[in-house]
Amino acid sequence: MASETTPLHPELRVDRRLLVGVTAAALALLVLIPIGRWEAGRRAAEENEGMRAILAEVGPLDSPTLQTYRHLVGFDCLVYTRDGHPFGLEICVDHQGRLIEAIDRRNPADPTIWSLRDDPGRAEVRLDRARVLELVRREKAEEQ
Amino acid sequence: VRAVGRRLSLERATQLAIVATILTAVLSAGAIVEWLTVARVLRWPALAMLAALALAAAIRRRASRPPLDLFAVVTVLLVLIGVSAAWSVAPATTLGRGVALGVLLVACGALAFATAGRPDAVWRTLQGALAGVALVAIGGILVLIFRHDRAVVDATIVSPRRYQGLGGGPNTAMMVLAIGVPLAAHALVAARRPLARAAAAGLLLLLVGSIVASGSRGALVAAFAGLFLYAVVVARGTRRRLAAGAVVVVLFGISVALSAVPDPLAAAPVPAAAPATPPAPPKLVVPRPPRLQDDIGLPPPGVGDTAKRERTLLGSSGRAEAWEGAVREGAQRPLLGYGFGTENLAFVDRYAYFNSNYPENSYIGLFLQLGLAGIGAFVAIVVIAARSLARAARAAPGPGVGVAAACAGAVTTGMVLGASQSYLVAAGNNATATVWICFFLLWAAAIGLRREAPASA
Repeated sequence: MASETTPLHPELRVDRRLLVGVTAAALALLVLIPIGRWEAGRRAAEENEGMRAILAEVGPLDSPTLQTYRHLVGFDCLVYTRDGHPFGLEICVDHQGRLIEAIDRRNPADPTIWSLRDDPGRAEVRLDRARVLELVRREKAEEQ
Repeated sequence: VRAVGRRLSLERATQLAIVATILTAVLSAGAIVEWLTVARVLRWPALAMLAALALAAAIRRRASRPPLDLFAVVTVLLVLIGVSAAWSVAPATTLGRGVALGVLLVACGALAFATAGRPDAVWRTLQGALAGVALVAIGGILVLIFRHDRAVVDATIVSPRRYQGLGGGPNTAMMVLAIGVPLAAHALVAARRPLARAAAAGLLLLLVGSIVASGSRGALVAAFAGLFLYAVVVARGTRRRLAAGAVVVVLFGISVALSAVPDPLAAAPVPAAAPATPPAPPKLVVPRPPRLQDDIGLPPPGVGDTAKRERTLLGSSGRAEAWEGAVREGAQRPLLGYGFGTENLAFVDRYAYFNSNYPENSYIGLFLQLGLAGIGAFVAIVVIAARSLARAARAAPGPGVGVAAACAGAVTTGMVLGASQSYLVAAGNNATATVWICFFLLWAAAIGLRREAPASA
C-alpha cells in the first residue's frame, strides 16, 4: 500500500541466483510425481493384502458365524463372530462391490484395521455386491 | 494530494477486505445457522477481493523483481501442493483447496510486499486484521444478548457451560480471538491518546474474557504464548523483559484459575415428568458392534464403560489416541502423503473418545496431506519467521520493533493453536487468513530493522 513514489527497500532487491534456484526447485518437484504414485501403490498393495487375509479368515460370506451387519451411506459391512469375540471380523464393501475395509477385533485392545476407504479406486478385491446386500437384508429381517 | 488520496482509499479498501475475509470465515463456521450458507459463499469473493486489492497495492510499489527467501519457500510449497494432485486420493479436492490456499498466500504475500520496510503501513494493515477480530468478539456479545441459546453450550457431566460467541463451537471463534490478543496488546502499547488506549484495553479484556468464558484450553494457552512473546520482544533490557514475561505468566495463571471456576453437571439431568405410559417390555436385545467411529478405546463387548471423563486443563479430549492413529496412517505414505486437502479423507475417526473428522493437529494434518516433504517446506517457512523475529528482538528501538513483535506474537499464537486444531493450511478455516496475514507482515515489518548498537563500556 505504497504510493508510486515510495522507493523499493534495498533488501527487496534479489539476485538472479535466487530466482534460478526457486525455478530449479519447483521443476525438481515434478520428480516427486512418480515417487508419490509409487508410495500410493505400495500402501494400497499392503492394505489389499491385509484385507484379502481377513476375507480368507471369514470364509464364505454366508458363514454361520455371520453375526450382524452395518448399512451405511457409502458402504455395507458384514460382521462375524470369531474366537469368542461377537464382532471379531468385519468386512466392508462399497457400492461398486470393492472390498474397502476389513477389521480384525480378536485382540480388542488393539484391533487390526486394513482400509482403502480413502482411496477406493485402488481396492483390488471385488465381491458380489448383490450377495452382500442380500445378506444384509437377511440379517436385518432376523434382528427385527 | 491525489496520490495520497488514492493510497489512502486503496489502504482503507484493503483493510475492509481483511475485515470481510475474517468475518465471513468465522460466520461460515458460526453459531447463527441461518447465516452459514450465505457466509460460506461470501468468504470466497471476500478472499478474492483481498487478493486483488493486495496485488494492486503491490503493483503500485513498482518492484521490478519478486522478492526474497519467503516468497521462494512459499512458491515451493505451492508447487508441491499442485503436483500432489498427481498422487492424491482426491485430485479435484487437492486442486480446489490448493488454489484456495494459493489465493490466500498470494494475497498475504502481496500485502507483505506492499508494506515491506514501512512499519506504519504494516501496522495499518494489521489494524484491518484487528478490526476483523474485534467484530468477531463484539458479534459474540451480540449473539449472547439476542440469541443466548446460540452463544452458549450447555453444561454436561464432563464439561461446564461454555461460551462460544459467534463461533459454531466453543473453540471456533476463540481461535481468531486468540490470534488477536498480541495485536490488541500492541494497540494498547502503541496508543497515544487516552481514548484509543481505553478502547485497546477494552478490546484486550474482551478477547481474553471471551476465551476464558469459552473454556477453550488451546486458545487460552496459545493467546498467552503469543502475548508472552510480544511482551519479551517489545520490552528492552533483561530486567524489563523478565518483568514483562512474569506479568504475562501471572495473567495466564489468573485466566486459568477463572476458566476452572464453572463446574460440569454432577449428574445427567433427569426428565421433568415421568412418561405417561409405562415402557414396553424389553425385546430380545441383538448385540450390535460399536460404531466404526468408536472402534478403538471402548472396553471389550459385555464390559460397561463406567469411567467418568471430566474435561481437565491438561486432558487431550481424546486427541492423543487420534494423533497416534493419524501418525500411523501418515506413516503408510510417509514421504509425500495422501495429497493436499485430503486430511479429512486420509484420517478416519475410529476413536471412542474423540469426535472430529480431522486429527485436530495442523502438523499431523500436514504430514497426512504432504508427508515429510510438506513438513520440510513448512519448517522452512517457520525458519524464515524465526529469523524475522530474531531480527526484531535485536533491533534498535523503534516503531518497527513493536509491530514486528505483535506479528510474531500472533504467529506464535497461530502455531500453538496448530497443535490442537487442524487449520493452518485450510484456506476456508475461520482463523487461517488471520494467521497468514500476520506471518507475512512479520516478514514485512522486520525488513529494514537495524540491529541495536552494542552498549559501550
